[in-house]
Amino acid sequence: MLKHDVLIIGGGLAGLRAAIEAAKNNVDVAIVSKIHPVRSHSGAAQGGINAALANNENSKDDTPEKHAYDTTKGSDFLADQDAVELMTSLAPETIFETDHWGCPYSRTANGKIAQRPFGGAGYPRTCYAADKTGLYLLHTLWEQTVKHHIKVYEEWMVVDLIVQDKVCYGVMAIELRTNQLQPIAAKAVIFATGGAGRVYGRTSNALTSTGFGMALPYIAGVPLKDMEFIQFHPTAIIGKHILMTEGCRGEGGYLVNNKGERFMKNYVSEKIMELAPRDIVARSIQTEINEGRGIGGQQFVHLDIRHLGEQKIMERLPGIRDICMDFLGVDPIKEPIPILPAQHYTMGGVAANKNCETEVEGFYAAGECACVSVHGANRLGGNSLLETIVFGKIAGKYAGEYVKGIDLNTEHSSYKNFTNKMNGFMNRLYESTGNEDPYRIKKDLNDCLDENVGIFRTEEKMKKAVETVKQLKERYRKIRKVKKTSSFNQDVVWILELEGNLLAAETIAAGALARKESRGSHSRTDYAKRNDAEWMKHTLAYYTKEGPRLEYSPVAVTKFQPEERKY
Amino acid sequence: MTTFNVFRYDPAIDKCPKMETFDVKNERGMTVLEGLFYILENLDPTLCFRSSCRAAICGSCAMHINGQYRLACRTQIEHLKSDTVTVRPIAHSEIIKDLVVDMTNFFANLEKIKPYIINEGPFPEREFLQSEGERKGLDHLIDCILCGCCYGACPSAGTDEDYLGPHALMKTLRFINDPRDKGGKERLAFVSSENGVFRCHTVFNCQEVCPKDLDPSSAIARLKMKAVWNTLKNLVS
Amino acid sequence: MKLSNALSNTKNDILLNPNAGTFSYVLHRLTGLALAGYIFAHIIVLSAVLSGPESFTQRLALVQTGIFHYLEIGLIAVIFIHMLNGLRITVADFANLTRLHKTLLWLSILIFCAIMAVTFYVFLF
Repeated sequence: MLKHDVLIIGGGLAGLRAAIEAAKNNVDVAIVSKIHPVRSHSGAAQGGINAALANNENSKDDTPEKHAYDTTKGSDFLADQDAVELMTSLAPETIFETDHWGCPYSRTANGKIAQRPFGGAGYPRTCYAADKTGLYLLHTLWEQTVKHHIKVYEEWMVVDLIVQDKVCYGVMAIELRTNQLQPIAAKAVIFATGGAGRVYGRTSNALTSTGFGMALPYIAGVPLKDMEFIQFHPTAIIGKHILMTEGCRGEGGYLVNNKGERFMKNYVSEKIMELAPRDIVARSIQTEINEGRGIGGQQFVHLDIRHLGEQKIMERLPGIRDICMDFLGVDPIKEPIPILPAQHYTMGGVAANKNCETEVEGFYAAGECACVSVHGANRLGGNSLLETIVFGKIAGKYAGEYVKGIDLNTEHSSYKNFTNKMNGFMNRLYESTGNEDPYRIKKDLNDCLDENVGIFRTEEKMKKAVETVKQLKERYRKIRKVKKTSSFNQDVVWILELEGNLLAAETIAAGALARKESRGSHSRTDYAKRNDAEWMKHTLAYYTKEGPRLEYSPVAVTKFQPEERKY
Repeated sequence: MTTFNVFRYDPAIDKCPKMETFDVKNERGMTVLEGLFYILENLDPTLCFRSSCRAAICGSCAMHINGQYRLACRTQIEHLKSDTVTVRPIAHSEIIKDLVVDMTNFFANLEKIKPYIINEGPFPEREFLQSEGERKGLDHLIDCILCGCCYGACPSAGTDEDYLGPHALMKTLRFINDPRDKGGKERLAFVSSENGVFRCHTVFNCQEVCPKDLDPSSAIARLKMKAVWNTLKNLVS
Repeated sequence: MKLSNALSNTKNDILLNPNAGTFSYVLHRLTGLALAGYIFAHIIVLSAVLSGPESFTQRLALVQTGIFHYLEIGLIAVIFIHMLNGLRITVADFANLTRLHKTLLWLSILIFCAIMAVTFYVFLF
């Protein structure tokens, strides 16, 4: 049987960072990833990574504490402030580390890491490397895993988490190349599997961000926290919904409606304008569109960066230009970019504490798939990359220490039980007599969430979403037969991930329906105000066969008392 | 309707590869990758291809489309100006199934050049100071997404699997140009070998096909120049 | 790599990459092979000098008939294709003009045409 001390699922930034850190403890570390690590969705991150480095001439008196305040305020006071403070205080050193490893950050005139303004931040504190920060960071961290000879199971798909009596013993995985299912035993498992964006149809996420990595721990008994908080990025290009970084606005871009008006002045103060937090900008754009002020009355507005000039665009936003030219045939140097809000990030995820530990012993979670709750109800741009490397590092550290006191028993009954269980499941897929088309179910699910659990939510629509997801789960049980092939069975992969989609969707819809207030990205037209007295608490969704059972847990408040969120 | 000619091969069953034809309902703005998904979802669920970001940044979906290596996600069907779309896998790598190839050799070659900063410290307390000019020296070299188009299009890679390949050589220059890296001499010596820059026959296919419009040919040329100067310098001294 | 594999890879590469670079690459290999063949023929002819001046004159007369006269035009073409392309890629490499490789190719073709015009003139008139 394959076995390792620390097994990391997911080869994105959080997973790679965890692997590098865990390996420092002289333990046997391996990464399992369904795609090669450099293909991970972390690479699509554009704008930058936040840290109070005070490198910009306008950020001289920036401190980690101010970063923590901005983050907490951005989260609409739902973030756990102890975790936020931990993240912002570790931010500078974690970023310097990546600089020492060769991450090619853009530079200021005096040679320091360059920083640009981002939404919801009091100072320009987003460190950037042109508009490909995620790509460069991802490559840099992957390079470090090569240096440290960390074993990577490339194109192995984890299909189950082996948990018995609240202890984690490893995972069940399929090697895609051979289609073989087998257990991988591990003393500690870290999940860093990314978000659940593909639950929505209109999303900026990669096709691989399906939420399957959230669903597995969910089934295994770990609750999912705050899943109703879904971030809609204000600026995704029309049609393909590919992200236009917040950096476009950070560098000075305008949002313009059909009257040629910079409409953000009607929603926030003139000082902030386009650089309000994402939830507010997304709602403003959606309001413009709903009220018929989209360009030509259509479902989009314009992001205009022409006034930045060719030189600045080519230097700081070259990737944006490439995307516009490739996918829209629009050159942003000459024309405004048609954009609309699209699903971008899942603030919620596997409930983890600030050491990335979960309710299951030996099971850790980090990155977007986890909810340590540093983002609360709304994430600030530039904080997600930071979360991945800070909490990836923390998860790696704690898991690396934890395994030293553990003996691995590959004879443990759980391996046999789970192998049998999973084999049974696979056989049912291969021998199914149903006739439901999985891709039809996926399409219906996407349409349902786009329509009913979007930027503006109502009781009626969310009820409909809960009901529809329940029906889709029923249909999933009657899925058509899957053809057995000897290698790389993509059909099986998509069908398995569809279950993850459905389970993530049910927690999103149920959590949203239950939360009778508006907070951050969760905006209800029937309960338009934030209600701290009743709802300043985290939602915890526990798996049951009938659907999620919701519980609630308190928010950690340290320095910053809740106040009205005004920009 | 657009006709897709897709390369099909399952080494476990088929004796030799074949091209299979599918009719794809073509919507405006549809990309080749979306066309392949249309086939997978509606016509043949056994079709295999890689995909992830669908935004031309992850490098998963490199394949040979209508006469050139391209990223399927970045290629719109109407831009091909043809009623048929012919799709083949990347060359110079073993085919696992259909359009999915084994990229082990591609990455093994990259790992040979020690693709990480060689610098054991001591490190400054904060970031390294690096002038804007020094940082400019890395421009474009760092933009490679490791999709494998250049490697598939390179005839030198086709005749010698030990040839490092355009991707690995460009990465080498990226590290040599980085003032934070201390392995310059070692790196130059390594690529000045038979399987390094001098296996390059200057065909320019890598530059021609690069979906990110990078110029590995230029990177290799600059390495060649450095290698030659270095040898001359050693001869003189 | 086995020679048969290498050859079949090369064949596929040529078919799959119909670029200017591939075209010049193929021409460069072919003219290179032709020149290697010519060198042997050349040495065979000249080696007659070892058996004295008479046999040398005899051997030389053998290759100064009409057909060889025309073949010499081909020889000049082959030499210049190989030489100009060699210069072109050397310039591209050492002057870092890789982005201009197509322009350089057109330039080489132009020079080649001029040289061949002169050649035809000298040989045929």
